[in-house]
Amino acid sequence: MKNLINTAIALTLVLGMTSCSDDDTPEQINEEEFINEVSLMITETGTANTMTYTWTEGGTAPEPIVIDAEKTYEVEVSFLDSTNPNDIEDITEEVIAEADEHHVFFETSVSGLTIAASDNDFEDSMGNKLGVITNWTATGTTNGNVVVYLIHEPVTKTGTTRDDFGGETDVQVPFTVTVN
Amino acid sequence: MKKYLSVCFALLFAALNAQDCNQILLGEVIDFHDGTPLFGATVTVAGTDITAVTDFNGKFTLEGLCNGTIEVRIEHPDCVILTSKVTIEGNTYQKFTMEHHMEELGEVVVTESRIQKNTKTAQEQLIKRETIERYSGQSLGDALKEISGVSSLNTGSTIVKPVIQGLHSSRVIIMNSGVRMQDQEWGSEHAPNLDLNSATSLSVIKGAAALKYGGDAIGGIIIAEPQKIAIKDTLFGSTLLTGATNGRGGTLSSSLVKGYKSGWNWKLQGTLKRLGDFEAPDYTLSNTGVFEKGLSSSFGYNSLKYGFDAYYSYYENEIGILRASHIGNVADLIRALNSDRPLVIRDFTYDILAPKQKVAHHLARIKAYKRVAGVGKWNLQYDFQHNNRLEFDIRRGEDNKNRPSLDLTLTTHTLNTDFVYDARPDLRLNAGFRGMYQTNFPDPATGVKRLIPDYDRFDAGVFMTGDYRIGDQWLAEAGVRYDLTRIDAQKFYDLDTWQEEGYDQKYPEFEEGIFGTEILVNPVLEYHNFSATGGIRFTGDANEWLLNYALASRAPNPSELFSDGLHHSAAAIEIGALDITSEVSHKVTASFSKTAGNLNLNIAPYFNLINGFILLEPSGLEETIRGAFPVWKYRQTDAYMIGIDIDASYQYSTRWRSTHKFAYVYGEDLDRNVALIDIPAANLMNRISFSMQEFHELQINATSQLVFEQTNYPDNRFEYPTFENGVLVNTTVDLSTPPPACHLLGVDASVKFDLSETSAIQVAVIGSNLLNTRYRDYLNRQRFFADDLGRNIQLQLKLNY
Repeated sequence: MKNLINTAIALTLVLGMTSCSDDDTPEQINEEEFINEVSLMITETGTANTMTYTWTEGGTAPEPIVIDAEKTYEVEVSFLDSTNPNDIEDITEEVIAEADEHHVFFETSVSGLTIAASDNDFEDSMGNKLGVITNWTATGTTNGNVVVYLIHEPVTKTGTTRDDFGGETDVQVPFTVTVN
Repeated sequence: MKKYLSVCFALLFAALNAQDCNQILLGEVIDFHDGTPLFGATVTVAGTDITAVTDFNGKFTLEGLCNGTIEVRIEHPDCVILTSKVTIEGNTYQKFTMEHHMEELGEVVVTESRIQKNTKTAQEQLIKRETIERYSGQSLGDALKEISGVSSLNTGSTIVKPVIQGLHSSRVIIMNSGVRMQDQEWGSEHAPNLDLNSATSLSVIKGAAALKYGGDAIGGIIIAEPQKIAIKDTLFGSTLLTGATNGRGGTLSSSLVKGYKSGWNWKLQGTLKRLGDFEAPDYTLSNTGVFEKGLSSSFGYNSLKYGFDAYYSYYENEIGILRASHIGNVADLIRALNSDRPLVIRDFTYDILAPKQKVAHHLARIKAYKRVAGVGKWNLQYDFQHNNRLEFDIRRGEDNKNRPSLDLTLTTHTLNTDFVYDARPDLRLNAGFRGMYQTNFPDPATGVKRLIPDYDRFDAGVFMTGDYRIGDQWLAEAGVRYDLTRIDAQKFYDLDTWQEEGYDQKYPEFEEGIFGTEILVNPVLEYHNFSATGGIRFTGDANEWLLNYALASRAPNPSELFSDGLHHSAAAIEIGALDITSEVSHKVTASFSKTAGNLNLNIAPYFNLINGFILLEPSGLEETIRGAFPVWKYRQTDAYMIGIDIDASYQYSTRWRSTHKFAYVYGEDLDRNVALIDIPAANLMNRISFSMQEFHELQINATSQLVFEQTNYPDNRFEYPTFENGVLVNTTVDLSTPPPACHLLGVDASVKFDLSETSAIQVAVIGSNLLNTRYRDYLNRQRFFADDLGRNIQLQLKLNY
């Protein structure tokens, strides 16, 4: 019985000591897969006329994208983590590296605007275009939204609306587009 | 008693005319301490094969005795064998008292032979070993649903949290072999980390009345007890193998127990469970497999005066989460809601991929007791628990394939001591102390911001309870308890959030420093909780009345205080509140039970008023790169719950019996005057049983389970702007409307074959959802994505040796 009491006292002491030794400051976490910025770099084909439009989480909405009808534009999308301005991370590289699990889709309400994968777009192992580089052409004078989706693990890579692809939405950002 | 005496006298008179060796010994076996009758004791006359077993009143009859002195041997599973000389002179009456405290070795709650309750006046029900074994292939939460008023909060079919009279998670205490489980029970997707197969009895107290275990059990207390070992030379074990068609896998559980007459004993038990994807009636529920491992062992020494017991258990569980329930944003959720089939259906597999969870729980405890003659018993217990929870999401990046998104390690040390005064048969007192130190470590290596921060928690509690018998029929019970909880956390808040919530004004003393866009704070929160209980019991000839009031107080849990992040399957951002105070519940329960001939009836109504009830409530939308997300914040309100549990059974003949259970509960938020969310719907269970003891103990049960539609629920539907072909359209998102009523049918049958004198094999077939009914359960968080389980046939083999 004495042994039991001794054990109990020893345990209490151990308890008491462990409870005083935990004053470490936790380590700050920088989310690595975080995306807070989507930018569209729009280049009129055959020219060096380039405009970049950026959507930032918590920031002001980007300027409307203005393009001319009957011209072709090459649009390259970038997904960025710019939470640390001194160390901006380009998540697009990861998306390209994991092309099999991703798809970039543009859904548009702009009548007459056609968006198709560019010949120099990236491809997954099945030869499906990833959608990172696209060609935009438009007709008429019109305006509306283009929503950029980054879809993770889509059920299929062909479709005309967001619903067709399934999977999880990693990015869903609207841009307004005016066609002159 | 009067009746009994007259029988005695009648027998004595009869004895006058009796012949030699035709005498009867009429006996009664009672507990030495409190005089309660002992059921199931075997009485044998030495040197003969005359034997009898005591009935519920502790009585037995031995016939065919000769006049003279005989030696009677009485054995009871929980007692030391008693040998006593009895002089037979005609028909004889003799009372035997047995030292029954052996049973209490390990704070026994329930034995097969005697029901000793934790509370004397509260609603309390139990499940015995046979029932637990029927659920061997399932989980604790499934087995507990056998008790009226207990339902479950599910995530799929393998994450099953018990709900007692409408309340769950931190409002329910789970005791596993005398240890209060510390397994991150605050999460709605965190099932109890214990192996059902390690328990041989389960008891549910529907309320906070058992203050010994804690003062914060606003919902109730679940007590799982392992096998108890009698002080005698014995070696026995059993192996249980269950195979299931749904999930195409099974469970193997085995145990071996050794007892010595000297008081030493040991025990070993293990479980292995492996199932692949489950199936709904129309499709495979992809990524719902499970791999569970359990091991428990103990050794100890018991004697009447003192003893000790060391216990260790390990539990590991890897559970797949339905692939289709992992979604990226609200538009994905709407897509899932609009589809009657899950959006991801793959071929059956045993593989468990992300999203999944993996938990490991170590529990070690050592306890000792000393009995002080003529006073009572002193208990001392230390336990250690180590709980690691990993949750894997679908992530981007090569490094993240096998990296968890959540990695929480909760380490708990607890010291308990209490003293039971039981020297007087009419009065029992129990007083004790509990001290706990706990530390939570969220591993930053996940690369995902912490859902729950680093924290240390200290608890100290003292209690005193007692019950007093007044005459033969009345009993009064009372208790008080005080608990101090101190939480010392370190958390990074988003600086904007910290200021928007006004915490910079309210808690400037917590601020430690600003790091970029975040602020490190050190909240130190203290809660003083008082709880109490009081009740009375009246025991009549064939009926019993109970009335109990319990005051319970619960300090907020870490998730209610600190939650800060996206809840994937709910597509919601959940935010805790630092200023949440303790919840205080006043619960009044009554119970009326009657045994009249072949009828057993128990009616148990209750009313629970909860001040400062903590709930999650929608509070606007937050714009993110994935579109807007609904934000749910923790808030406090006053609420009440009212309900009734009814149990009835009727024995039509020796072969036929029917059992009926009904439970109903209604809860209301008194601030908003709306129904509470996630309250179980009314449900009715009817079972017809057929048994034929003489034919291999044949037993057949047909069970009908009817779950009504929940019509009382808060309307949290919200309008949400989604893009359709690039144009914003408002869509109503409905996560509120409960699914329709459903009816499930099950049949099970079992037979037993003796292999030798000490070994037997039992074969059982258990069929559930036999009609392959398509249904969804209001309290299953995956109801938005898929149907519940389809038909399942289990084959169970049990070998006793």
